[in-house]
Amino acid sequence: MGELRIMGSKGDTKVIWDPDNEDEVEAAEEQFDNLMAKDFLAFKVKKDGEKGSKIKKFDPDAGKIIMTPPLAGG
Amino acid sequence: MATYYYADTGTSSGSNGFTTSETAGTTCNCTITWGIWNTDTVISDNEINGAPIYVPQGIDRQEQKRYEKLKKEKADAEQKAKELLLDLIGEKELEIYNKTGRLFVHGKQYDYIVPKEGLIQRIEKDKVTDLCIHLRDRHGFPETDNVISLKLLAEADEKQFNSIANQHHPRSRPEELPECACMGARG
Repeated sequence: MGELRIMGSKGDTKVIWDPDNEDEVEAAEEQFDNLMAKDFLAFKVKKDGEKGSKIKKFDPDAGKIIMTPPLAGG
Repeated sequence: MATYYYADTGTSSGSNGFTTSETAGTTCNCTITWGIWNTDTVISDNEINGAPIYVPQGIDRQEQKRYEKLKKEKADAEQKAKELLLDLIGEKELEIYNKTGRLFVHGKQYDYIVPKEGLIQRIEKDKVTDLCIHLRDRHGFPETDNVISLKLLAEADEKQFNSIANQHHPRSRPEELPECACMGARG
């Protein structure tokens, strides 16, 4: 199962998809694309603590994708 | 040293942040929730981490209930953020993070100390530089989500990370760095 974790003010929201289920993949991808359009950043991560990689396109085979709001210098 | 929490939203989002101080003062600025300035304070029935919360005197019960609800939401959100961090760094390192409030991040070129509050430190061979970079609306998100975001970007795209950050106060690297979670780990 793939997992999309979207950061928000009340903690992250989880969207799950089965890579073999087209509808679920499409729904997750739509959320992903909507957030990327709002300048969110997306990182594909692994559970074992290995460094994540930044992605710009939805990967249905990703185990976990974390989406963060944009960052700014202070 | 005790920490005193003062109800101080001070933000347009009404996210109900707190200002903290190590001295017990008598006034607080409450701009959004109550529109009261520099008013005398009383101690709320509730507390954060064992420390009292000072709220404006005379605030009505309904407002206080709303205030307490917002406080709980904030604590719940932070707990969720820590669960996400647990997924990334594991239980042992999370314990250290809970104790120190700091995460050590290994970039390809440099290392970074990312604290829950305050400036990030970029650690080079013989130099330390303060970096100011954070979620655009950082007060609208749990503190630990801010830390996670910085960790992910520093690891995955260090060039972008450093190009966004404002840099301050470069200085010689101290002999000893403060304790942080993930200091020994290298992904």
